[in-house]
Amino acid sequence: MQARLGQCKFLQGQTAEARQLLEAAAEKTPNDVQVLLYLARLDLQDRQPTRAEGRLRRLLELDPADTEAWYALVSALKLQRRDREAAEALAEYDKHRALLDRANKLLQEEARHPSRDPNPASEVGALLLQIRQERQGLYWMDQALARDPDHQPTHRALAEYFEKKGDAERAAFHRRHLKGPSPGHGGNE
Amino acid sequence: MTPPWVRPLLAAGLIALAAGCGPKPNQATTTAPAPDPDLVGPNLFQDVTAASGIDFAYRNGEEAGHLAILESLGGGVALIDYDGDGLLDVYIPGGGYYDGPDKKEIKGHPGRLYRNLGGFRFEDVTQEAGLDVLADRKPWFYTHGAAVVDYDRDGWPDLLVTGWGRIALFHNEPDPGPRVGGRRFVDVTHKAGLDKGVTWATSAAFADFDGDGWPDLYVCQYVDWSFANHPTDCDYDGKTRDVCPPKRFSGLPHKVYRNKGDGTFVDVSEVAGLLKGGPSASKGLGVLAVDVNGDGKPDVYAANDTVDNFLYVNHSTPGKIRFEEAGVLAGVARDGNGTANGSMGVDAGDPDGAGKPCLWVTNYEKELHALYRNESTPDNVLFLFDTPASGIAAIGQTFVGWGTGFLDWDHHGWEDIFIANGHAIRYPTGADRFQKPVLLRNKGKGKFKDMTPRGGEYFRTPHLARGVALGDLDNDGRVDVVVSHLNQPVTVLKNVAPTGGNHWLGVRLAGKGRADYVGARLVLEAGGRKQARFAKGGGSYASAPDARLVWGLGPADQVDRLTVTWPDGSEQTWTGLKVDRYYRLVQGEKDPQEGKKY
Repeated sequence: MQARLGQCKFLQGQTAEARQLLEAAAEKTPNDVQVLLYLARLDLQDRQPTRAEGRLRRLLELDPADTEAWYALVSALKLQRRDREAAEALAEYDKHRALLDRANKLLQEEARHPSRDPNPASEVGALLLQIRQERQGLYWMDQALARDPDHQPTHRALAEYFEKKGDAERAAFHRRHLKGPSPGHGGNE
Repeated sequence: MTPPWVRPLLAAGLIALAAGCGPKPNQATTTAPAPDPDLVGPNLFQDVTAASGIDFAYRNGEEAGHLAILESLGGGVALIDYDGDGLLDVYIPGGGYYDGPDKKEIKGHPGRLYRNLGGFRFEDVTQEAGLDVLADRKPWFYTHGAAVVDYDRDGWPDLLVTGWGRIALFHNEPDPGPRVGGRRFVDVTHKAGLDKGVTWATSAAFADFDGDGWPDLYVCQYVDWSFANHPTDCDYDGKTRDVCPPKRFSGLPHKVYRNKGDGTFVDVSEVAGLLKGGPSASKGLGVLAVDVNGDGKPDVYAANDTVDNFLYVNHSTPGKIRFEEAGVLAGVARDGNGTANGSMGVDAGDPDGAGKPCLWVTNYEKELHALYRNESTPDNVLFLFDTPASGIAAIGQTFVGWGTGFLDWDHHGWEDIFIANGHAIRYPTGADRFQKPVLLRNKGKGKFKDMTPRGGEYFRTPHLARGVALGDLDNDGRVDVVVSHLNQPVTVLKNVAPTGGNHWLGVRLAGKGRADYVGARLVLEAGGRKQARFAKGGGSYASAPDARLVWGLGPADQVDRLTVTWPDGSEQTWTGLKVDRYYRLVQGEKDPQEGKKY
């Protein structure tokens, strides 16, 4: 509640009240990414780029795909005259943003023209898994397999995903559905 | 039915509406809230159009039913004292229509020039001033914007008009006609070398980019629409055909022309370093020339539609215009989340009193207008997205903003903001096509509050507005407003804000030998405070404001000091300036020229 109210106060230009509420929220939930983001924005407004950077780095440890955090980090670094690192942060932002934009485009198309084609659902799922939107990603992977239980790109992406997660059993399940050698997996089928 | 998980992701990247942070509409209250004292009082502006003699509407040709993106842009307003009588005259581009058997010949309506007779009365002088036709009595092209400059440094303001397929430059010359001391415009576009290379010009700005004294020209171009590239499959509700968005087109490269000083211009866009267009680049609508990093050289900020805005940092030397595009890393290409917006109108001011030009941009619906706070040093151009902290986010995200500008309407000592609104498409689903304008009151140090209800009758009615020019039409020190609409008459708003005894000072700069002075910085000291103003080119949307700069002084009844840093780095200080009047300050001349008139 404090976090939400703090964000509202920030958006209404009541920065002192916003900071008070958000700092209180941060004590209770130090890993709330929205609280960290808004506090970092307040730090930037107060010309405290080092403090903002600290919060944003912590946020990005929790969610490396948070585009808003990457974008705010660019300003925090530029304010410290660390231009090379700012450019690197911007490149990270662009990379994650491109994935998000592609996913959004596919989702919008899906909303406007629902189809039975497993390919867009699979691509959305893979993109969402890449940007750590795991619940949504797995939902769309399931959708792809519901449309085509034998859909090879989906089984391949899920096998890789579960391998990375250390879930050997589920990874093996999806590998069993693959019909040919997997690109990038050295033919270990 | 929207599938699960679609909505949460679509919402990602958008910030919550500040307007949604208030109490719920149906929330019961036991007592009526006390009236907001800021919103109680006399109107700030009076619509004086009916008695003004200005009766003209920009036409976009939408009656042909093409639903072309050409019809979305509308037109601007230029304030120009073309006859040197000390009163700002008003030029309004006319737009255009479609002709021919299939209604696919794009043609123009002539604009109108209204001569200011004083007392908010105007007369139509379009024909006698030579603006009813182009050179060789050719008809007008489809127009959008206008810019004002003395490009040949003869002491008289000239006029540039932008549009689809071309631009036109008019030289201000003595009129041999019956009016004593009359002036007329001569179309010199061909002679000036500006008659080719333009595909679709929207806004333009003049400034001496290379420091040779002669004002150069920057032209925004929009997208590669034509009837040969006219998609007809766009809708926003799943069924009703509408104007296609800019994302369906490729952005055109902007242009920069160097003024050679002999009455001609040369296109140096490529060698100057302007970026090329493309599907995700350019698409320019508004432009402002102003020095953002304090090196005296006018930089260029261009508002692009749905793609990154440009900030061209000026690295020119005399005779060589060179720009470096730095918008993204400087923090002014996108909003605070890193998203490119549909940007239209621009201005720069000192709303926080920090002495550096903050950039201000009006944007599309579901976006926030952008106030970028300037944190630049000469070798590090940097802005912070200040919209939420400034309180501006509180107006919500339902507006499609166009013409705009800073003005201190009651001389309280802080720059306020005017925004003209109106939707770009014909059948919007998320907001109304006709929209009310917005007045933002600067409560001090760049903290804004919505004061629209105090604006007056015009502010209580929705409009389909586009360009806006701010200027003092009656020389009383209070900045008035002229607004152009799509297919509805232009509105003249007289500033009638009670000033409560506040004082003001107005300044018109003049460079040495009539050299262009865009890029100059002016710092006024009065009442224990410093307030900066900036000599700018272009601004608003497709419009040309009053070239004079006005400060509100609050109760301070004397000016301690006014310091001008000219684009060449020289500095001049004036003391003993009296309040409540205009001065003309000439570079290198010690004595200010006083006069209530322009």
